Amino acid sequence: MSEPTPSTSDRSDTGLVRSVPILRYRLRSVYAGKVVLFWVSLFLFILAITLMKEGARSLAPLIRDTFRVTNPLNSLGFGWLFAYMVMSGSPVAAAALTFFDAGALDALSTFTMITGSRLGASFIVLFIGFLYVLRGRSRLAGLSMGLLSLSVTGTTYLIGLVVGMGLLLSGHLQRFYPQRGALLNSIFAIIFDPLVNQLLIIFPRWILFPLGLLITLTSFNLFDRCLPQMALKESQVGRVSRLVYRPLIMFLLGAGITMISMSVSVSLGILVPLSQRGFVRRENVIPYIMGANITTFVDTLLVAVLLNNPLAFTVVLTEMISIAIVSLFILTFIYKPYERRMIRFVIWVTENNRNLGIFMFLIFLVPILLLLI
Amino acid sequence: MRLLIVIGGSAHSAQALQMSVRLAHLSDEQPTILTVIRTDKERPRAEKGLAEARALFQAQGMEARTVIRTGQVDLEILHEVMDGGYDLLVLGERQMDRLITRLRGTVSVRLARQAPCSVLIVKGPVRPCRRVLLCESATVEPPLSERFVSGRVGRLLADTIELTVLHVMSQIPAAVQVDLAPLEADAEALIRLGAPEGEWLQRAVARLRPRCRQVRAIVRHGLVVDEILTEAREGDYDLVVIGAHREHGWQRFLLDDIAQEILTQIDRSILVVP
Repeated sequence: MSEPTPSTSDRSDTGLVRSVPILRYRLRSVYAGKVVLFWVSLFLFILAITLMKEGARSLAPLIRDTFRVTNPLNSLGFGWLFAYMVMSGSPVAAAALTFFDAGALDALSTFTMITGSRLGASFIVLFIGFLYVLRGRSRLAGLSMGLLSLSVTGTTYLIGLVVGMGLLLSGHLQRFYPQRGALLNSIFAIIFDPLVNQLLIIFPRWILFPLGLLITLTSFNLFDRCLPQMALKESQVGRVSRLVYRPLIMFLLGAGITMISMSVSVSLGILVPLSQRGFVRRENVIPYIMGANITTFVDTLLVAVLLNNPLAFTVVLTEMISIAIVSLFILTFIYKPYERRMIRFVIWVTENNRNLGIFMFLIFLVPILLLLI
Repeated sequence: MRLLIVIGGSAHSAQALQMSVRLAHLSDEQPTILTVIRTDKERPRAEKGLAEARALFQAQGMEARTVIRTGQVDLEILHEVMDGGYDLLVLGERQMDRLITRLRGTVSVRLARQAPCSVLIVKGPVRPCRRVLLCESATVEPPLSERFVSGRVGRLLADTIELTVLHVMSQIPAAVQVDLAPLEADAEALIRLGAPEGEWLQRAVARLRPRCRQVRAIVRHGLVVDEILTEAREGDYDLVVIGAHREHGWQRFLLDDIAQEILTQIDRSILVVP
């Protein structure tokens, strides 16, 4: 009797059975790789903050005398322009806190510099879009998302600035500070202080600040890479596309996803696969950005804890609470007119090159003027 | 088509009644006129109102059945709809304080959300349904055009001369690499491009053509509610047809309900098809 030859399906089944452990092994390796990357990015982040903290002390005269950051408006412009330079908001917010810790900035100026950092960061998406427009892409395609992000951030943060200043001056939020911050800090001091001391032997103190800034950027980059591939696929969550008309749900979704990703741009990117063609609904985006704008401060809050500075923690908390108050007020009471105005603004800017030119000019001029006041 | 007309003795009820008299000839069954009272004290007044309403039908050579129910208005109407197996519920809309409307929704809005049949809310001047705007959504299956024409309520198109199928594209590109063509295209271009929206519109037009000689598809770009309201106003349509999502539990809290927004803001008669 001859051996029965396996049918095609038998062969493919066997192949499938064999490929499952290989797939599991690969998934496990990818997962392990991401975990390692996460710890590396966290290590670098803490090291960066420690370096910036040390370096900021030497830079206080530079901030006050050379850049003339002497009032909250100056620091708003300074944070804004600084974020343009480093093409990111979080490192600038971290820098603001280290300047505050070093005594170069007062609480109010730190608060406005952090606000400026977010305004500058929201410009980055627009700037990338603008580069595409210069290369021949349509204005609407290139700029819609960036403009919407910038206009929502701009309006909520500028109103939030007033609310936050009031909160900060009232001192109501000063009682909230995680008590374990000091303990955490002493543990980190044991690990990082010898390293910082070695660097101080080699370099002048001020060098530690730009070095720390550079490491912060690297750590954020690594952190983005270790995030799981998050995507809200239309096919997987068929009804997600219909969540669009519930502003509060989108607000919470934006806040939740950004709390994990710690980056508004990464969080916005997750929305893209909602439609297979890369479209997102106008109704969808605004509350999502509002939510994302609050929890994007989670990393800055961590910086405040790492600095072991309760007042720095209060400044960041005030920022988050004031933006939350403004966003929830808009969503609850004036959402529809607000939404229409934002959309109209986007349409106006993308209507022709003249409007776009005026807008781009102003977006550079305003922070410069603020710095010069 | 089984028709239920709700009256309450005010101006908004009179509009509903006038519209129902116009529509009654489309029905092969006797329409029912319902009024809901809270206590028996209101009964004499309700009976008088119903008698006047029936007289209106009689003046047109038609008979109508009358019903009085006692209890909470929207609940009693819902019970009558379910008990009677009606195809269409016709009612007017009482103007309420904006804050209350926002918090609770008017009776008509609540019924449009909950009733198992189509709901016609009569607003503005009562006119024959010559020009109809049907707002087709791409995300709901089966499509509104199919639900509309497959049910008995599709008979409302008997007097229609011009039927417009509207689709609103509210999307913007999420990334710079995205193909922009569908986001700027009109209905013809979407059909030509073979975009999903074009296909839906083409199918809707084909589905509706046997019911009306002149059917056209249009696309507007912008916020969904705003664009529907603008098109309804600019096109001076006699009737606007929209779909409604009947969600329960957590879905009702989470999922969209633009129907409520449209119902609250529109200035003309609107039909909500479940």
